Amino acid sequence: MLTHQAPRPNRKQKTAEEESSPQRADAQKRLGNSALAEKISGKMGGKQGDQGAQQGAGFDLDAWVQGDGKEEAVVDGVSRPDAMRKGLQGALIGAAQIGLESAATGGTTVATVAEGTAAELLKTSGDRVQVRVRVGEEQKTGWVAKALFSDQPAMAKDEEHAGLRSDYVFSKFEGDLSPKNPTGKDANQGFLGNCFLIGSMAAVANTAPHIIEEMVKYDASKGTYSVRFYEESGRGKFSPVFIEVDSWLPTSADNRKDPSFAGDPGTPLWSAIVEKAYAKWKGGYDALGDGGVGSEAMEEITGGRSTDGDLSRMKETDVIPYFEAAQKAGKVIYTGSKDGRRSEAQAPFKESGGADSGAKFSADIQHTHEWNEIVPGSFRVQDRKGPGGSAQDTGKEGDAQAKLRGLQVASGSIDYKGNKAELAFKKGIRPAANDLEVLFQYHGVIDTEKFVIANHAYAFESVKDGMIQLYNPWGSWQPKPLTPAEFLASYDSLSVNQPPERKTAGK
Amino acid sequence: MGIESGAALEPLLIAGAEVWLGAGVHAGGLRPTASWSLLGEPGAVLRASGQPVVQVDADDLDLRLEDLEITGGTGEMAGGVALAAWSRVLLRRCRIHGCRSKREGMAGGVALRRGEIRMEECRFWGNAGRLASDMVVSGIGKVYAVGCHFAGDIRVREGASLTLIGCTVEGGLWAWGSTTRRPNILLRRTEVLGGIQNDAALPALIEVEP
Repeated sequence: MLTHQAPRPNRKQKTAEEESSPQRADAQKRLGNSALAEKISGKMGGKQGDQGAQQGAGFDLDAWVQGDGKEEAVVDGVSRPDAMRKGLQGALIGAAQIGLESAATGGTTVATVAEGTAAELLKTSGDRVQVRVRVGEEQKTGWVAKALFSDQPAMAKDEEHAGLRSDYVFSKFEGDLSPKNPTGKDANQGFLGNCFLIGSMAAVANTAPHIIEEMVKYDASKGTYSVRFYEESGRGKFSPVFIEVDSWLPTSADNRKDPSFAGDPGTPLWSAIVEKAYAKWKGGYDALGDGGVGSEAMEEITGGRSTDGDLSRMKETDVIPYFEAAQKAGKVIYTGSKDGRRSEAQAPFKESGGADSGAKFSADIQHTHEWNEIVPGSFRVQDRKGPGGSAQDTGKEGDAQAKLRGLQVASGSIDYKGNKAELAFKKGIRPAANDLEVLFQYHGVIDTEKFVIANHAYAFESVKDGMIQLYNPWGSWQPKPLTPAEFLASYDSLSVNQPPERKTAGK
Repeated sequence: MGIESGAALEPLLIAGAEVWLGAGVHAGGLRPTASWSLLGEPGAVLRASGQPVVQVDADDLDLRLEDLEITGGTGEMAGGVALAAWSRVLLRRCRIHGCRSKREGMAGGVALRRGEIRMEECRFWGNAGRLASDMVVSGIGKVYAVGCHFAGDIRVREGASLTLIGCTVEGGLWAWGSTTRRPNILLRRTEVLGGIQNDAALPALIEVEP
């Protein structure tokens, strides 16, 4: 029997075949938030909460805030803000001594924070800035040298602790990371829910790699990158926008070699640079994780207009000619899978009692893949022979459990996470267990043979021998080549972008 | 021209057409290629499944939807009405509910990134979207809404423009720009019960008039 308890893999996990990096296991760990707390408590010689006790005699906050006149060790190749202003998001880069304030005691202690710790600027005074940083699961304020503050995109929100930044830190990735002969396979999605962006990058790299090459320029003298996007400024007008970023990328504090968001060690990291610039432009990594649309992202990458194809009207015989024509015309294609699929009928119920009243049944619902989940509100039980009638679940999106209701049903329930259902019929109603047919919609893997994941973006790669090859922007769990029928069965959206013609010298 | 529930709708939607929908459910999933008007009689429902109820990709269209219940759609931009072109859409006395965005998409009810949507006396409820349940105004899209009720929330971003006059937003109104653009929002005689959240780092220009 398939089980459904296993969590769906994170986007950085690979299949056994794809597994190649020993660092992979570390990357798969959901990031904790203990590293910075340990650093700080270690420096202070106590646990968190002991900070008041560390307030040394003679510590002079005013002097600390004003600075001691010594030059701070400024790190090269770091993006610096043009102007310090409240609310600016960034990171502390360099050996960051921080004077942490304790709300409880009103005291201040000096600590060292991990290099690359995310920070929000609160105010400036002399050569110091007041910042908010995260310590464990708390946010603290403190003062640091202004020279250590680097403007960086706001970090992703912590899913487990609402309102707090997660414990990612920015880590330096050395060398020229700009794209050289890019392909879509270079683009790998990380822990952000931004398949719309990574899928768009991959689609452009597959069809128009010159655009990716041209969009990222490395300035070796500064160690920074200028990334070109386009924004629509009027009808038919896409104007270039240049965003400067450095190569400090979000990582976990205990594995600073593996970008937590786009990019994988061992593959070109230009997608991480583009993602970072996009995040800086749009208001932070958390803004990207909130959502977006592939057709729009492709426009912002190429400066050409996107249109949406209509798969609901496409016949099987149209599919390959459509892709071939688009490919020939140099169009970039991004497609999206359906958000669920209807299950095959199954009869999972077994009688579990109720001899003196209506029959009682329980069921372990079967799935075609362990990642699959029932869509609440779609679960239906039908007695094929009639006396039991039908039952329908009352769930809605986000529910873990719901009731099953029907005219002949005395009580019923479904546990969507545990994939278990129970059903008791009214007195005298005794359908046969194997006549109770179950149908439902499911999320997860909607084509187990070709490995198509529901509700996900894919980049078009090629058409070969009448089969369509798509790319999963996770960088793993790649779908097998699809026939037109398989494509239409699993995908329901298609965005096509026409990049502007390449300008050649002399034109 | 009036049509009954179940009749094929799209062949009738030619340039300049004014089509009356009778009571009952009519198939949505419309991809307009010409300017037309769809007018509902009491009980007229425009429903889609697995695609937006109306998705506009063609430029230079003038579309009018009146007295319709718009429901059941899903789409990456929006499940109800998605405008990705330089066209104009008028929604008058429409009820938009039970629509949702797909993947990491935008809005359940209405979204646009260029062109203009004008709404009069519309009601939104029971929609779900990644960025906002009822409406996302993005890119350089413009929305002008009068006397509308939004049970969910609204987001305005980038260089978009939103004017709400005599409206109620039960959820929140979220606004954020980019480093190169800021949204423009005018709220006149409008209540935002869930509060206005204007991004501290990349704020919108918001004017509130009593």
